[in-house]
Amino acid sequence: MDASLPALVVVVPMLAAILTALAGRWWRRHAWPVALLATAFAAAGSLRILWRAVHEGVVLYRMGGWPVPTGIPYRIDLLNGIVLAMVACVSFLSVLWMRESVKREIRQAGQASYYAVVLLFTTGFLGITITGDVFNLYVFLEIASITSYVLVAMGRRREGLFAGYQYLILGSIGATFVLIGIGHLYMATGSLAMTDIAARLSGALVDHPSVVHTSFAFITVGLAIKMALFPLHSWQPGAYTYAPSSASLLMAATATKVAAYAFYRFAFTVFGTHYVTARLPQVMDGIMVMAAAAMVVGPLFAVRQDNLKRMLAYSSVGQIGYVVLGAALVNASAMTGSIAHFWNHAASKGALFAVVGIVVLRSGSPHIDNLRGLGRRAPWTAAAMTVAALSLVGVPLTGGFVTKYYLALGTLETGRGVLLAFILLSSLLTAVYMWRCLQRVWFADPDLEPAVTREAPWTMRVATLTFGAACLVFGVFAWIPVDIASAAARALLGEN
Amino acid sequence: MSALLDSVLATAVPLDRALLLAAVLFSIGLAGVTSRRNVLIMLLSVEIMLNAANLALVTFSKVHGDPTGQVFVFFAMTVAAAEVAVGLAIVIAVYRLRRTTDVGEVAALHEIDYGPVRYPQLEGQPVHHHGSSGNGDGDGDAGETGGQPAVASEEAHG
Repeated sequence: MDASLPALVVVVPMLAAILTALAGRWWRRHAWPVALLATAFAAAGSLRILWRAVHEGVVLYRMGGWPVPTGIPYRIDLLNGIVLAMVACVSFLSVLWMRESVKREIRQAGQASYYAVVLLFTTGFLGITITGDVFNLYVFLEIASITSYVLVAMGRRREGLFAGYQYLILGSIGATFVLIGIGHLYMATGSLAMTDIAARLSGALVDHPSVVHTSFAFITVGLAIKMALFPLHSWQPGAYTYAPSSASLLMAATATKVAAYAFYRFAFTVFGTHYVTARLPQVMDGIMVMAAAAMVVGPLFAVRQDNLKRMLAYSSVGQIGYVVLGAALVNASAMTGSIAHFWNHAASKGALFAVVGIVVLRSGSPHIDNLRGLGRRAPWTAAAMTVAALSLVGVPLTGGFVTKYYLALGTLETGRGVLLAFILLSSLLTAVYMWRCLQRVWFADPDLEPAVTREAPWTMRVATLTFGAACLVFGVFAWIPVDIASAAARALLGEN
Repeated sequence: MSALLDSVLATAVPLDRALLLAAVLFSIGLAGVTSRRNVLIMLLSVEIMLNAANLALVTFSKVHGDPTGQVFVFFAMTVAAAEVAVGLAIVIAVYRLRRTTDVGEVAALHEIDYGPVRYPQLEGQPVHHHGSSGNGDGDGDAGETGGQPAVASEEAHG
């Protein structure tokens, strides 16, 4: 069981998806428990894998026992251990959260299929994270993307259809770029296993340097679309705004960050630190500019939004900048901050989208004014929102502060102090739009009738509070994410 | 017959021509998706781009004399089929709503953005009106009457 856990973590949600889709026609009420059990298994399994990666080193699983260049290896080191645990835990909490929301927002006949799509979505992102084979990564990337288009289009608002279409076109272009990049990589090295490509790359760089450069360029652009890195983010605000609340929660907390992980994996494991720093440093400089711009432009747009979902979507555009900046700086401290941000952002954005979903459930609309008086009528929900907002801003004792501290350290160590101004400006703007929310939550005119009149159902409350508590845990016990993230960063950069 | 086959195989397309074709197909797809206004043609253009990638993969596998690359193309084609299925489903749903395939007119669905997004009213759930919700929302309300059935009320109560 323990030895085959890496395969089971992906296979169980996939089989559960098929089961849900087939049986859901007759036993609609069983769709949610099946999805919950499958994601709970994935969450427990991935935490166990992360534990093994921390204590025993790289976990390697060969599909069907085939040796590495022939068969597909599942290879979990600290970096994808972190992302795997994030995806699985977020999926579990989201599925726990979504029962009432799905009953409200999805047509009755579509509910079982909705859970099946959610499970396939989880399978896709777990697969991208866990696999050690680049073509397998592409297939899982497509599974994850196609299910995302479906999730967006399943919203009750008809704008969701066009948002889903826009996402489909841009996402498919991104996937095509990634596929062409992988094809060039295969051309240059004749292999598809990540470690095998890495070993053959120095030879390929002598024989066909331009093929390798083309491959890196295509993969970088493709993944930049997938992770909604400014200025390629145009699909994201619509998708997150019009998707059902539960899909927004799931996607915002996982989707773009997994694409960012894939970029880390390609840049530092497949192409290698030497390649990105010595052979093609311009790409990383370009990524750095885009990340810095994203950090400021995302919050700048978010400040003007009255629709909470759209506000948080633009906020995600900014936050992905933090995740990518560490990679672009190629510095251990900055990368520690960025890798820790995989967890910190999942916790804070998960909590915020969970709260917005509760507001939509109780009041019917994600308008910012519907937050008024939330603190009086739903104190637990409001508390989770407050903690998550503080973490997003980066107040000490929350996870967001840890990220920003290490990123700031990294900018100074690499002599790019000007980026510090971007981090500060971004935090300031984040504080502005989060204050607009918190002011309504806690300091609304007491004469106004609150739009949310009572607390959320217990499943939602438990999930929301867990997300909120995670923001605090990652800030107060900062050594938990930081130790693992810094070891992961050093392993990626080849420092020890 | 076998002589014919041999002659076809002997005069196989040179690899650089195949790559050139892939590049041309890719450019056609990219040009189509950026310049055309029809949602169906945009979808087709994306698929042409994907097939350019497939053609490149097959060519690369020929370079290595290794059939793995061709096997991957089958996976990529399966994935593309799933993508087209989802894409067409969305296009059909959009067409049923708007009776148009022009991306500009379809995007009018988006214009409601500037007002607060109100969800369809749910039974037993009072909708709160705000001072600002009057304008910009009319399009959405007009659309609301013609379309999807409301969620069954016993489900809505949870």
